[in-house]
Amino acid sequence: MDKFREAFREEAHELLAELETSLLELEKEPGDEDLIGRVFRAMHTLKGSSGMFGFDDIKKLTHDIENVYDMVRSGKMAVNSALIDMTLRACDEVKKMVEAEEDGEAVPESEAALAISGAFRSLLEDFRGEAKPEAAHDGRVPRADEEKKEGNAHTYRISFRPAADIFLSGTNPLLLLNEVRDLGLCDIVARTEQIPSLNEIDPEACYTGWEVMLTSEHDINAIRDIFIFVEDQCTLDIEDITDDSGDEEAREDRKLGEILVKRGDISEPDLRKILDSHKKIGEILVESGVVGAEKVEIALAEQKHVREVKQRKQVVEAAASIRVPAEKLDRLVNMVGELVTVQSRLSQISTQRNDPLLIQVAEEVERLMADLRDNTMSIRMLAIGSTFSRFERLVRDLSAELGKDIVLKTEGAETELDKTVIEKLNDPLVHLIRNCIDHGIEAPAVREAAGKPRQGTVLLAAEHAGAHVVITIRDDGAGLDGEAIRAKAIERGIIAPDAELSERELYALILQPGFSTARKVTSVSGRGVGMDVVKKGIDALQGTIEIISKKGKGSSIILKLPLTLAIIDGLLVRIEESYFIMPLSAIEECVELTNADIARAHGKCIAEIRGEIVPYLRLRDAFAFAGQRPAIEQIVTTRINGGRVGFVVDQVIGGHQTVIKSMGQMCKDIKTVSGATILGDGTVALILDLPKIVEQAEREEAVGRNNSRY
Amino acid sequence: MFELVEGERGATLTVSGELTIQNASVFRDALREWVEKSDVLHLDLGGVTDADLTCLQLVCSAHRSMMNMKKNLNMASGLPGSIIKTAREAGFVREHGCRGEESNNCVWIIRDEVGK
Repeated sequence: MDKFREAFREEAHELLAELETSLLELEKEPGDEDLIGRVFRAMHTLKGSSGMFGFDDIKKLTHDIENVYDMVRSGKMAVNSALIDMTLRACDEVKKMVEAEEDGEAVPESEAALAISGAFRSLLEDFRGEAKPEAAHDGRVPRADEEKKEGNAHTYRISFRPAADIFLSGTNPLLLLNEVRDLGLCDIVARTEQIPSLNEIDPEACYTGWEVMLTSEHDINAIRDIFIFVEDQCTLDIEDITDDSGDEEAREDRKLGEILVKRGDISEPDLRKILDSHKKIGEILVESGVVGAEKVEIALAEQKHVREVKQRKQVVEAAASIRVPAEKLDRLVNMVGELVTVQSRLSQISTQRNDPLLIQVAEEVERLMADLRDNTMSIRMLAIGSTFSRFERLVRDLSAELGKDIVLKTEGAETELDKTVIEKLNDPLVHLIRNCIDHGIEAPAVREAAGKPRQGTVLLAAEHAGAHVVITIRDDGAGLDGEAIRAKAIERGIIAPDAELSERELYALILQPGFSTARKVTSVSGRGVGMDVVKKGIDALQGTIEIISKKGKGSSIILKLPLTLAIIDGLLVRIEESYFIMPLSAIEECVELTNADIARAHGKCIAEIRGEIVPYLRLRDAFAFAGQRPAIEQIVTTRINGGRVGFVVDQVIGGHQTVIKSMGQMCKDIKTVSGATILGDGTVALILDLPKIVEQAEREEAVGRNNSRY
Repeated sequence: MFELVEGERGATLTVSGELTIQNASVFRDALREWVEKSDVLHLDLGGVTDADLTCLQLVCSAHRSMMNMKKNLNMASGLPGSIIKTAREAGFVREHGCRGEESNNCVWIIRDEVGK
């Protein structure tokens, strides 16, 4: 049973997330019937599931809310901000109730839940009190979708024959049939056998009847309602022919003859007699005069309809998802990682042995392995939209708290990223958006005075760029104040008073720990921890941050992240007999470094690359290799924190699909290495954390400078 | 709205405009007259801009009347979109004629339309 309750919890979280998104959209479009329907359905499903799994408190609360939204759905009650507020609070409360259950706590019905329940009940009572006199005159025919039985499709056989004089009342039977079509999957066959010859026909009379096969989630009353105004002018017969098992399979396999027998159009002995011949059953039956061609047509339509229903069901079933615990996926990815390593060993050995048969097998394994790796990785990919939708609530609540008018716009919600990356991205994004709201976007009056619209905009956009995802957080607020940042950095001793910094380097200073130019500390931000958290978070994701800002116009923070953390594209390099991996994402190019180049720089670690002076770090020095450096080395240039830095290695070997292995607890203090990987021949290569190497070098240089002063 | 041309291979009745209940009597009369007079009647409905159930019934009726008289009714230039649309809505489009083998030339067997 616990397994089922766990399934409910997972479903509840999804439903609550969907509810929150729909409610926030509904607040913007209060008349949108689709959104109202979405809210109602999510609430209804939540109520149903919670009741089924014994979460009675949740069921009670959602029941009260559902009642109110039922009124909204039927157009009797309007949506307003107060209702949305109340519902969002209710969602929070339900979330707490679900989480409390997760933690194994007993959940007494909280006062908040009782209060919310009461508020929804009194809202309904107040409304009913006011609406009663009008409701008495309403006489409204319930809309068909109000009687929808969710996820429970039934198949109906409808026989409809209007009276001959139906046109005289202004009724067009085709419009009624179109309404039936709107209820679901529908096959309609006209019965024309009563149409007389031209000498007898009354051109303004209706001689046509219809046989309709309908598969719908609506109940029989919804169908009857369509014909409610013509019930005195027609013969209507609706039969629910859904198999008791709910299974259409048996029906599909039923032969035409069986359908005709079941419909009472022919008798079973007649059918048996006819089956002795070898012609098609439909032709035989018509030729024999046992049944009219039209009835065969109708039975064929029924057969076709049922077949189609089944096919659609199969498509839906095939497309349906299954829920798999995340750990199982992680294990799968680990195993695929191991396989990638083994496969690369196999490829290496096959090349060394030069055995054509072995090479052939190795190539085949390599091809399959690449597919397996890509497929496995794609399973872990999630659309970033689920994370985006959470921020809508954040923006709404925070802007209200700060008295600002801010709207969040999102782009590229469908962009997919590894599940782990998405999870770890949440905190940095929260901080960035908080900063936009608190520091970036001005108060409405200030904006107006500056000639901007009162409403500020925060844009959250995601897009794929090669093996990376670029996430942009842009606001149209005040922009960063370069002077204030500079002053603060000098005050804190982060930069020298005479330091010359580019705009990019200046803005990068706000990523330093404890750096905040906010004059006041609010509950939202200003403590100078936010951007530090962002930097740490993004570093941990092997990502980069770029800040672009224009005073008075706004700022953009651009995060570049790898699609996955399990396998990355790396550049394999060698120093002496040791191998290292540099994440390809940060790398710009590789150029040679000769003794002549070194001589030209007069002992300074700089090189001129494409007309630009690039400082470099010699990794053999950073890792204290004792041997002689080769006459020709390689500089791998990278872009780190907005600046260009080169790393000098003995040899660049080439691109390498790197399965990341963690270094374990023993090495947790080694910051300059982010992990390790195993090469094809079993050698271990360390994965370099390039920004950390630069930081360490800068620290050592600063210490050196200070020591030389004394 | 109705135009009749008599040729060597039978008469052609060309109909244009709206074939709805408002014109149903006129349409019936035109059909009745020329079904009586012709052994082979080509019915050209290409110019029909709107049709309702009465139109479909009259076409059916004309076809049946001619079959009963062992005459031929042909649709001269296929059915126009307006009639096909109504025929589909009304469930007239079918795979077999209503009188078995002898009616395989049923007006409503519209191969391209079935299954759409």
